Amino acid sequence: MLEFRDVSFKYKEDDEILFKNLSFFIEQNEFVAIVGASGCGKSTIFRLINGLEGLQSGEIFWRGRKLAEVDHLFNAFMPQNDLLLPWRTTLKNVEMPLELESISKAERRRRALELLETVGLAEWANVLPRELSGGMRQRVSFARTLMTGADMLLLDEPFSALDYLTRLQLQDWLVEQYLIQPRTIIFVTHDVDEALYLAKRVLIMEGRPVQGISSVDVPLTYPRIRADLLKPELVNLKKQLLNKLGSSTRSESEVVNHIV
Amino acid sequence: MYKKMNDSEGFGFRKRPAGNSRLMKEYRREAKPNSGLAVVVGLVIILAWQGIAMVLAKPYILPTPIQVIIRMWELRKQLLTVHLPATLGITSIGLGISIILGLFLAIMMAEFPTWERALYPLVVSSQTIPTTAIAPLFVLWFGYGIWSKVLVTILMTFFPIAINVHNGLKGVKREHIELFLTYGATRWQIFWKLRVWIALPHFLAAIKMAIPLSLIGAAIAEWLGGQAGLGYFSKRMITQLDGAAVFAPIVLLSVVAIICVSVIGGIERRVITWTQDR
Ligand SMILES: Nc1ncnc2c1ncn2[C@@H]1O[C@H](COP(=O)(O)OP(=O)(O)OP(=O)(O)O)[C@@H](O)[C@H]1O
Ligand SMILES: [Mg+2]
Repeated sequence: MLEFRDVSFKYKEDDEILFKNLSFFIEQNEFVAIVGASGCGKSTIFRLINGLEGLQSGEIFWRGRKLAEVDHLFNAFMPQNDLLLPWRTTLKNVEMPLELESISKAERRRRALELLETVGLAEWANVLPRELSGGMRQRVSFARTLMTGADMLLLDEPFSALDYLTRLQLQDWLVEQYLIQPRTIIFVTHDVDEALYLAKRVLIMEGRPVQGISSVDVPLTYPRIRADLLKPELVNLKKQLLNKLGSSTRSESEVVNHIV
Repeated sequence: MYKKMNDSEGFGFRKRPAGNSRLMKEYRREAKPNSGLAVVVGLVIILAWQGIAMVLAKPYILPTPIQVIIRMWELRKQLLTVHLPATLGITSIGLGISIILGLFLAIMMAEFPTWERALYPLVVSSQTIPTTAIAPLFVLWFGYGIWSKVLVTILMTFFPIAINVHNGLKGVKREHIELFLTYGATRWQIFWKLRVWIALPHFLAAIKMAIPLSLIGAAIAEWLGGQAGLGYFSKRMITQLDGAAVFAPIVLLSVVAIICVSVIGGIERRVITWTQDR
C-alpha cells in the first residue's frame, strides 16, 4: 500500500539531516503505530506522505506508483491538534473536505450528519467548537478525517492532548471503528502502551537523528483488553521498545524500573 | 455502518470551575467591562466642566455644557441639514475609498511576496507622517473642493485598514493551510474559507479605529478651507467669539463617532461569535 524506499530528508531551515535512507512498508488495511522520541520526525513522515515537502533522495510508493505521480492522494490526515475552524459549527467543520471538492450541499450535509452520528455527536451538530470538550473536538476532527472518504488514515497523536480516561475510551472506540470497517491506519504516538494496545505492528524510529526504523509485530489479536498488556511477552516487548527509544538517554536499569 | 458512540459514556461538557474566588471574579469583570463606573466618571467630568465654566464666566472661551447644549438646539437646523451632511459625505466617501484601497493592498501584499517586500515597509513607515501637518498641502494642490478633504480622510484611515487586514490575512496558522492543502484545496479556497475568516475580526477592529480618524480628517480639512462642514462651522464661530457654537460641532462629531463605532461594535458581536469570552 505504502512504501518508503531509502528516503532521505532534511528541512531547508535545519542543518542536520532528519532521515537517512529510511525504508519501511505498510500493507493494505494494516493498523500500524509509529513511535519515536519527541522531535524525531514522526509528523514529518506524514508531511512527506502528504506531499508537503520534497524528498532529498529515495522514493515513496503508493500502491506501487511513485507518490509524485499520484495526482490525488486518497489519504486522510488528522493533525496533532484538532485544528477545527472556530467559526464553523461542528457540522460545517465536518463538511469541510467535501465542500472543498465542491460536492453538493445536500449530499455533504447528509454524509456529515451520518459521520457525526457515528462519533456520537449528532446533537452537537450546530454548536461552535469552543463549546465542545477536548475529547469531543478530537472526535469531530476524526469525523472530518473520515469525511475525506480516504482508505488510508494518517493519525498524528490524535489522543495525546486528552485526559487519561477520555484517551482510553477513544482508543477502544478507534479499534471498534477499525474492526467494523478495516482500512489502512498509520497512528503516530510517543506512548508505547497506546501503540501496543492499538496496532498490529509497531514501527520504532530509533535514535536522533533517525538511524533506522525497526518493525515489531504485536502478538495479540483483536478485540483486545487492557489486561493483555500485562502478559509477560507484552511486558517484554514493551521493555524492548522502551530500550530502543530511550537508548540514548536512559540506561537499561532505569527503563526496567520505570516499568515495574 | 459504524457503531454509534453514546455520550452518556462520558465526554460531556467540560465543567467550568465554580468561580467564587475573588481573582476569578476580577478576571470575569475584565472580560466584560462594566460601563456603570465609566458613566459616573463621565458625569463627574461634565459637572466639573460646568463648575469651572461657571466660575470662569467667560462663555466665549469656555461655555458651560448647558450653554453648549442650548446653542446646539438653536443651531440644529444649520448643523443637521447643512454641515453634518457635508462632513458625513466627505467621511463616507473617504472611508469607502480607504476600505477599497486598503483591502486591495492588504490582499495583494498577503498573496504576493513581491508586493509585500516592495510595499509593506513603506506602508508601515508612512504611518509616522503627521497627516495633520501635510493636510494643508492637499488644500494647496486640490483646492477648496471636496477632493482635498476626501484625500485627507483617506490618508488618515488607509494605513490602519491596510495594515490590520494584512496582519489578519497573514495570521493564518501554517498547520491550517497545510490541512487545507491535504484536502486538495485551491489557493482561492484557502483565501475564502480560511484567510478571510481569520482577517474578519481584524477588519472590523480596523473600521472601528478608522471611523473617528476619518471624522477628524474631514473636520481638519474643512477647518483648513471650505464652505460647509462641521470643521468649517467651528472655525467660523471662532471668528464670531461664539464659544458655545464652537463646541457644538465638536460635540456633534463625537456623538456621530460614538454612534458609528457602536453600530460596528454591534455588528462585530453578532458576526464574530467564535472568539468572544462568554
Ligand atoms: N516545517 C518545518 N520546518 C523546519 N523544521 C521543522 C518543520 N517541522 C518540523 N521541523 C523540525 O524537524 C524535527 C522533527 O519534527 P517533527 O514535528 O516531525 O517531530 P515529531 O516526531 O512529530 O515530534 P513531536 O513528538 O513533538 O510531535 C524537529 O526538530 C523540528 O524542529
Ligand atoms: Mg509531531
